[in-house]
Amino acid sequence: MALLFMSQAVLLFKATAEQVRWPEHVLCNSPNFQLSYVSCDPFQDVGLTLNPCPDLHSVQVNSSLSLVLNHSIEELYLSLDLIHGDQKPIHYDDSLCLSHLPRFTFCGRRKGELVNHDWPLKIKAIRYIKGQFNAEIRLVNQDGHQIACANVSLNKG
Amino acid sequence: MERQNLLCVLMSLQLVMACGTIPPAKNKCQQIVDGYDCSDLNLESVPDAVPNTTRNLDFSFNPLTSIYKGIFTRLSELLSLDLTRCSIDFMYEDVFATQAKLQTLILTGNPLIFISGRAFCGLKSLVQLIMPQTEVKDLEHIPSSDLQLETLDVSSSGLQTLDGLTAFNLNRMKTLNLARNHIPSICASDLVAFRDTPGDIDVSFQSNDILRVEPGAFRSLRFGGLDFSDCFTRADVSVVLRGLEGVATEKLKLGAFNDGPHRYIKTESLHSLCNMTVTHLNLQMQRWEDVSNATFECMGGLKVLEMTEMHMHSLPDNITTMGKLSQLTLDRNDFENMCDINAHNFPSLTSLSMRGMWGRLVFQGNCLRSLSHLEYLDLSHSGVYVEGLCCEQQLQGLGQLRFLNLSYNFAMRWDALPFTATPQLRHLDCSNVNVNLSGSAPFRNLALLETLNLSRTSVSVTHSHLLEGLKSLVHLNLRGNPVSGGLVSDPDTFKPVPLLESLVLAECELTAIEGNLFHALTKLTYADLSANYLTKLCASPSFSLTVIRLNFAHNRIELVDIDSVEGLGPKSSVDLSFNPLACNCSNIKFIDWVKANVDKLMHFEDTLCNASNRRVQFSEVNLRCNIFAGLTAFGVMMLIIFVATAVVVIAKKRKYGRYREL
Repeated sequence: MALLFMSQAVLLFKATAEQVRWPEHVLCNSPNFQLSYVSCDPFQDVGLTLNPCPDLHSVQVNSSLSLVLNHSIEELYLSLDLIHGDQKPIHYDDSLCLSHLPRFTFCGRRKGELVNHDWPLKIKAIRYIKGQFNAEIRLVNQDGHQIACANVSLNKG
Repeated sequence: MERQNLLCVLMSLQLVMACGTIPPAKNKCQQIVDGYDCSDLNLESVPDAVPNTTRNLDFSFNPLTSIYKGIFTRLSELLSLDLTRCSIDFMYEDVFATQAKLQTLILTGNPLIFISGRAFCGLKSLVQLIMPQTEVKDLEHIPSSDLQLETLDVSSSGLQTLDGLTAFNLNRMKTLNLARNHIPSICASDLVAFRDTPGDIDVSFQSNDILRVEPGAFRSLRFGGLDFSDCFTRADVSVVLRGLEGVATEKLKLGAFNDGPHRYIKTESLHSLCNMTVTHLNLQMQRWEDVSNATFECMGGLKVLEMTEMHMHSLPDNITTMGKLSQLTLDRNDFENMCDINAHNFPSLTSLSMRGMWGRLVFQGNCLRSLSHLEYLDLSHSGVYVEGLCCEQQLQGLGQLRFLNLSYNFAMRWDALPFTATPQLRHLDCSNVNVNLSGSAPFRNLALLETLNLSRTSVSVTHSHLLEGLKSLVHLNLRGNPVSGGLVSDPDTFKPVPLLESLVLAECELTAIEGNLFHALTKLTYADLSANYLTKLCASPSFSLTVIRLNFAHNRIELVDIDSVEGLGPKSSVDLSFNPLACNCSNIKFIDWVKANVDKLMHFEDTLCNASNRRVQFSEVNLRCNIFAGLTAFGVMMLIIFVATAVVVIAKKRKYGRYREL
């Protein structure tokens, strides 16, 4: 009993010491196309939905993102890494909000504000890709604080 | 039984954590500058650990629901109180009765259903009231009688009218944020409160779905800035501009956003601009329906014009009204030739920004010749392409230029003296442009240059005359220019730049530094030699170790000579992260120094001993390297040699003895 108690205590310590893992959210799940994401931010999950799921026929997709800001976003930077196996074939950085160029309506929002962002996307490349892909998307503000992070997983047969 | 209960609790906790739905949380308030951070601790009251003298309290993301008189009573010294997203829906009377010194109150994201008329009583010093997303439907519901605010933020709160604005004392107000509400119309009577303001107030109506503005509603009013960006879903720009006739404002924003609707602006819609005083006009991301000389007819009073991302290929060639314009921003447009901006239209221009053109921008000679007052020119990330040599002809006429950014563009072949037309240059950025030099001393006429960025330009760091003439240079970046042979052997390389304070030689494939390479740099306070192949940390005896930051990260240094770091002053630091530092007795003096000077080591957590591929923190290294241990080892060694010799001698004697017997 004592041994079991100790092993539980050790396991509990490990669980708290390790980074939090949020549940996986499935965006699309059809026989030939699966798309899901997991928040990699230690403090919050993030809500994302696509309607309809992009497939061979529909490239026009309405995306909707919701998250509560833990920090203000006078400036906001996007960093995206596409991961295929051990490789990171694509790395993409972009500035979404700058003090002299706020590109989106959510720029300048304060800590604690809920951002609900609906945006139509045109996803053409989905027709040509095949296989398992993972992407890590991070949003960082003017002070280097992480605003959101998501590991996206895509599988297309 | 108790133990079993505890076990159950532990197991269920572990299960929940394995599922991963509980974020890591602080378990007590943390001290911050002049106060405490008690955010996100599931608190329903201020803990006793927060002293009465606290000046700043971050209590955000705690569940308060309702706040009553008494909750903050003992915190009478508070200057700033953050109650962001505390689920407050009822705010009763005299909550802040003892907070006479409070200057900033943040209520972001609380669903304030009820605010008592006496809720803000006692807030005599309050200057910032921040309450976006508070579901306040009416400004009349904010008790304003005692307030002398400088900032009021009621953005994203569902306001449908400006009723109640007159109750606010706007005499001291600098910023009024009404963005992202649902205000469809603005009348003259709504704006009476602005009649007595000093004229420097910024008011934002951004992203309100404006349908009607009473013509002349803003007449005779003065503002520091008016923001009507993203307000044109249902009404034309002219509707807002007619309402603004007679106004005087320093800045006027009429732009759009990537995620909002874009309207085409007609020239005739801008006629009302003739009847107001505006100094700075921002039209970002709108689109022109028709652009002609007439479009700019009513912009004669402008000093600053921002036309970022308006899908423009050219500007008209005979604009006669823009003689006063001093700053022009044309970032992220579709210009293909520099001459298409028709620079002669803007004879007083001091600043021109053309960052991030979508395609290729041909930088033709003499296009900017008429801009004799230009001091600032940004052409970075614009696919700038020069046919032939650059940049003597291209910069012709820009004798007053102080700042030039040519970074992230196509390869250029430079004239022998590329900046001969711009002798006043103070800052020059050519990073990430493949530069082909024609002459030996390209900067020799830039005696006033203070900042030079040549990172990733393929220039030769060992070029003996590269820095000639740069006697005022303070910052030099040579990152990413490989040095052939890995060694800068000429000791006079940096002799022309005696005032240099910051030098970046990172990613230059350096294998060693000559001892006297930096001897001329007596003012150096930052040296970045990271990501090279250096095996030795070399701190030049010439620069003062009392105030210097040395970056030797990502090199191949195993052993560190204690003399090179021992003299580092209290304001100095060294970065040795990601080096294969040895953690044995040969490096013991450095290891001891690290343990005693953690504050002088940048990125201490990545400064590890991994000569044996074991990544160990320095704090975990525990070596015994005293002189007695050395002597003991020597004695043992001698004893082994003696015993081995004796065994050999005895064995030989026995062997010879047998031969004799034979």
